[in-house]
Amino acid sequence: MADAFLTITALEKSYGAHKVLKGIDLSVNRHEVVCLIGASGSGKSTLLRCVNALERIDSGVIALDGDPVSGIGVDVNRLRRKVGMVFQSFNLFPHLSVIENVMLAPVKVNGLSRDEARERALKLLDRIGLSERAGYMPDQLSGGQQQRVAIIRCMAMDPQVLLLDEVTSALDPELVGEVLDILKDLAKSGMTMLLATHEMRFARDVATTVAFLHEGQLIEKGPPGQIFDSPQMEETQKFLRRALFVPG
Amino acid sequence: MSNATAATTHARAAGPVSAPVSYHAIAYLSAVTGLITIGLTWLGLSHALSFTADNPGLSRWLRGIAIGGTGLAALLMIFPVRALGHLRRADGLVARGDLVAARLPAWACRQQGLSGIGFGATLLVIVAFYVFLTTNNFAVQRAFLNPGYMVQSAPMVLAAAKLNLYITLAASVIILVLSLALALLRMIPGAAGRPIRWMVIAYVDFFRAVPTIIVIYLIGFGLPLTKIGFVSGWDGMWYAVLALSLSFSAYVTELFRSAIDSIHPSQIAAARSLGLTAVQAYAYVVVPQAFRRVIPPLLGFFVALQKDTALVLILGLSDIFGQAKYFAANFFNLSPVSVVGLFFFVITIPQTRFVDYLIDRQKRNAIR
Ligand SMILES: Nc1ncnc2c1ncn2[C@@H]1O[C@H](COP(=O)(O)OP(=O)(O)O)[C@@H](O)[C@H]1O
Ligand SMILES: [Mg+2]
Repeated sequence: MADAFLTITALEKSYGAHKVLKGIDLSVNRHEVVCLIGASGSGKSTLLRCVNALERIDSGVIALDGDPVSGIGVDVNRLRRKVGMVFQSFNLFPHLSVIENVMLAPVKVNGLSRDEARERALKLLDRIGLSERAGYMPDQLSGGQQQRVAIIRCMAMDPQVLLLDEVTSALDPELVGEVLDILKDLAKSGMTMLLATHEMRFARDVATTVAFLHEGQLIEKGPPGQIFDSPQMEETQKFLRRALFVPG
Repeated sequence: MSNATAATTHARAAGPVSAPVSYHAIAYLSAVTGLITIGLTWLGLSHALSFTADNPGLSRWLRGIAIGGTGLAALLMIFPVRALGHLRRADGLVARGDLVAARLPAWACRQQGLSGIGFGATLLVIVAFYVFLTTNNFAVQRAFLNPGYMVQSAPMVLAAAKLNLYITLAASVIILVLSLALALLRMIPGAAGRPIRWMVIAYVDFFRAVPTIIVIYLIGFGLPLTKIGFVSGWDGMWYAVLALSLSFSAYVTELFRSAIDSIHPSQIAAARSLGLTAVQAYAYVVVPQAFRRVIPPLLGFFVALQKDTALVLILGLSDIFGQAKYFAANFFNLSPVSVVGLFFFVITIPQTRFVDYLIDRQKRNAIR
């Protein structure tokens, strides 16, 4: 594709002697939703953290819009302004109210006035139906509401790509749906996303590409129909048999 | 054998409430303790009367105390009496096989019995202290709590507490600033920061290892000896402030550092991924959260600091303790120093209570 926005080439990463990512090649086009699936410990989180420069990479290149953003001397702050990231848990800042969580980066990083930032934050909160909770502290919200706030807190920075690391895994089952709905909305509005997930149904419905990560290698990727209905590799088949066995 | 009789037999053996000590034992024990308490209280409180035969005024007071105390001990018999009442009701219900109904009086019997034992023991401790104060013709009371000496020395002793207050305030400000700076220096990342981190670690280790009184002594007597213009010739109070600040900052630095460390790393990751710089992430996310956690133990250190200002007496300063010692030497009696003890007691208790309250509140919030 001509419009590859995020390209990862021959990415390697180890923790000490433990090699976690063994040469990853992956590209994400604009407006594409790429789902990373794979067993726990296969390296999904590490890959996402590398893309956001939260981990230093050993070798390979990560480029955004053709602009290499990995390696020494890169302005990580500028990179992160283009890339939003939501984590599995501990996302919100517990000492700030919901709206202050959303306003912090626009004010401190983008230099918006507080009034302007507040107005925008309220609009975003309205979009997820939480504008009445603007003054609440994070621990007064349910886990699902917290994750929704975390997602729009990222959106307040107008990122060009959103990284999501199992954002529903720490939630009670009945709260998963409301978070996935927000992600579906974002996907529909054309947001470029790279996400690690265990929600296979969601991946099938929303992803444009599904990539299967196995022990630090991307061993299979393709459109969801192909990966879920006719996986080629034995490891993928094994993983999916186990993952899809869980109803829902 | 029918079910009901089986249950009754079982109840006779084990009682309606399973507990390590039966309510019978507790009720009888509380009755016995109550009687013993009355006897011991009378013996203990009337003992002092033997020293005051020649002082009818004082004798009257002491007799009043002895009679009042013993009366109080007798009043405490209300607990065993109630316990025995509940015991009879419980036993009656058990005899009728109504084990469930028997639980309530058995529980009440246990509560009343235990209350009786608890109050009785407390009263006996107070009586023992009274005996300690009055024995040997009021020897202890005369040495430590002579009202005349206390009143006579109190105005000047308490006025001298101003110095302790100044030292505390000055040292507190220095400790806060120095410790936060050191804690942040201690966290400078990377190879370049290593020597700085080592320096902070060495500082913290050194001043936590050396007793505060030694630091005060060395600085208070050592620096003036150097005759270096910059550090000699200060007012004595400022050597005390310096020494206490150096000593306490070691602890408070560790406190700040561990609080900063205790903030989950994903908070930094979340902040950085929003585009905040490392410095911004610390300033707006990590330090504010750490500071909340640190407030109660920090106040605890400031209470300790207030008390440790009494150590500056070794520098010959006329702080509250120095002033009291001067009086004590003149009177040949320690009562003025007891005034110092009382002073710290009175100012410290509300503060420690407040710290405990903050810690409790924090725990409750953490659970929510
Ligand atoms: N900070 C770390 N230090 C050392 N090993 C790590 C660290 N983070 C992850 N790992 C290891 O890297 C491997 C991949 O972890 P991760 O990327 O979290 O997998 P996933 O997200 O797919 O479950 C695991 O074996 C894990 O133990
Ligand atoms: Mg993970």
